[in-house]
Amino acid sequence: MKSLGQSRLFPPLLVGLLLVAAWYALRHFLALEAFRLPVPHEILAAIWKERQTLAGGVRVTFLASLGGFFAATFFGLALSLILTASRTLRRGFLPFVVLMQVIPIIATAAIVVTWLDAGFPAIITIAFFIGFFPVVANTLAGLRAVPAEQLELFRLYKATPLQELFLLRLPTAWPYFLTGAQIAATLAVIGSVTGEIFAGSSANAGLGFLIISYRASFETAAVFAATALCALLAMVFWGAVRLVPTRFPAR
Amino acid sequence: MHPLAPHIETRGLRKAFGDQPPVLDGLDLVVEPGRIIALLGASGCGKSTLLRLIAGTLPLSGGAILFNGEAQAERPETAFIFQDPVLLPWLDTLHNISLPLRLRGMAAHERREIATERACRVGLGEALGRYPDELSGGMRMRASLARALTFSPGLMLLDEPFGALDAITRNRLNEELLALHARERWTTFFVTHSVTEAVFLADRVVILGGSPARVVDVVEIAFAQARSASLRTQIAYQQAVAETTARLYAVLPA
Ligand SMILES: Nc1ncnc2c1ncn2[C@@H]1O[C@H](COP(=O)(O)OP(=O)(O)OP(=O)(O)O)[C@@H](O)[C@H]1O
Ligand SMILES: [Mg+2]
Repeated sequence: MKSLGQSRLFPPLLVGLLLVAAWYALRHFLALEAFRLPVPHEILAAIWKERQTLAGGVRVTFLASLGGFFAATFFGLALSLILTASRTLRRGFLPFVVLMQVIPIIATAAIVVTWLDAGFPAIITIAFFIGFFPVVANTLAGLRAVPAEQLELFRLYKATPLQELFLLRLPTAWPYFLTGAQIAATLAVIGSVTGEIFAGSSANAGLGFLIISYRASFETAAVFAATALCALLAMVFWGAVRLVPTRFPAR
Repeated sequence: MHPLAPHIETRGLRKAFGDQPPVLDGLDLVVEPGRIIALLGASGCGKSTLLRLIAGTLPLSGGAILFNGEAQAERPETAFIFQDPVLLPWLDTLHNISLPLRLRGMAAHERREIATERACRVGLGEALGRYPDELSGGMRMRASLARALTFSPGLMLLDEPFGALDAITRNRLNEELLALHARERWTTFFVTHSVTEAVFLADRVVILGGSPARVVDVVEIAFAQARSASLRTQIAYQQAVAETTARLYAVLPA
């Protein structure tokens, strides 16, 4: 029989239990109020109590993340293909793509809101901005990772530049692109929650908007509940992208 | 004889990369149509470079390559086989073999027909739907060979194709290559580091040496009957291997 220490499930389960115990202990021994540190059963209770509002929040944030994710992967892939086709364009644009990435997302969010006003389009745009760069960076690396001999093979058979791009570089880049898309999937959730904190509205309340409104009314357990759902959403998103086969679907 | 197997002659062939001293210079070589030439020489002496010049994937720095006596002739249909099979991992065997046809815009059903025939020719008829990572090393090399045969090339350039395979697979592929050659008789250049392989396959072993490299020795290999696996056990073959080895070591740098 395998010992408990070798099992894959046991160590994280044990650490998890210890953390929960420490959580309750902290609350008890520091004599904290519930609104400072809600404990797990209070958070579960808050999820149940706020289930309708939270479900709406999950739906809104999911849609915004999905929109941002698809925009980031579509435009990221398109830009990468264009930049691969032309060295001049690559040299010209790449510094600015990098520049876009080093601006903190919070600052981007503030600027986007002044352009687009608060609302769903602004939130999707923020989610797009944050996921775009990882897609471009990974896809570009993949498009340029073709082994020299495969390129020579294509040249030997006098392949056109477009054939080289779509029959050789794109399939080579596919797993790289998917890695970028996985990153974009989790970042898109971060982006849309950030966007909702800046630009959310009660008419269309996503998880980010709920977090600040619960906080304003000191419903800390519900803040924790919404936060946990954000994490869950990001994980589901990431897992879904992981399911895409890494072998390029080519005929 | 393949109708398009070219007569090939190099005259004063020269190749230098950038400003570096030339890799090849004054390289003269004559090859009659349908012959198999084995190229031997020290590592880094320029064998792969010579094949690329003949294939036309690298520009010459000087001299000329004559196809059927003409310097400006259109290149014959040329196949190149690399040390690695160079299969695309996202394509199954059928689509890897038909890739060259696709690059020239042939219709899908025609591609399938030709690729299937080539696959059967190299014994991969049962593996058409398998991906490269599901094939053995020998099968991958066969797929590479089948792909090279799609256009019925007149000129076949092989750059240490079987160097990474085990000895048994390598010998079998040598025999299969000869059988394929017997059918179409492409003019063939075969780069190898193995004297036994060179002597088994070639009509002529060309030894490159010096810096820049030139042809330093040529060993004609003539055996009485058609070559098959049994040749390996014959005295005449062993003697030819011994002689070629001696002549190779006589010109290799110490
Ligand atoms: N693209 C290149 N740019 C610059 N130098 C090159 C290039 N290709 C080859 N060389 C040089 O040319 C020389 C001959 O290389 P080549 O690959 O033709 O040797 P080789 O005889 O095939 O060696 P091996 O037996 O190891 O395969 C080497 O010194 C190599 O460094
Ligand atoms: Mg070489």
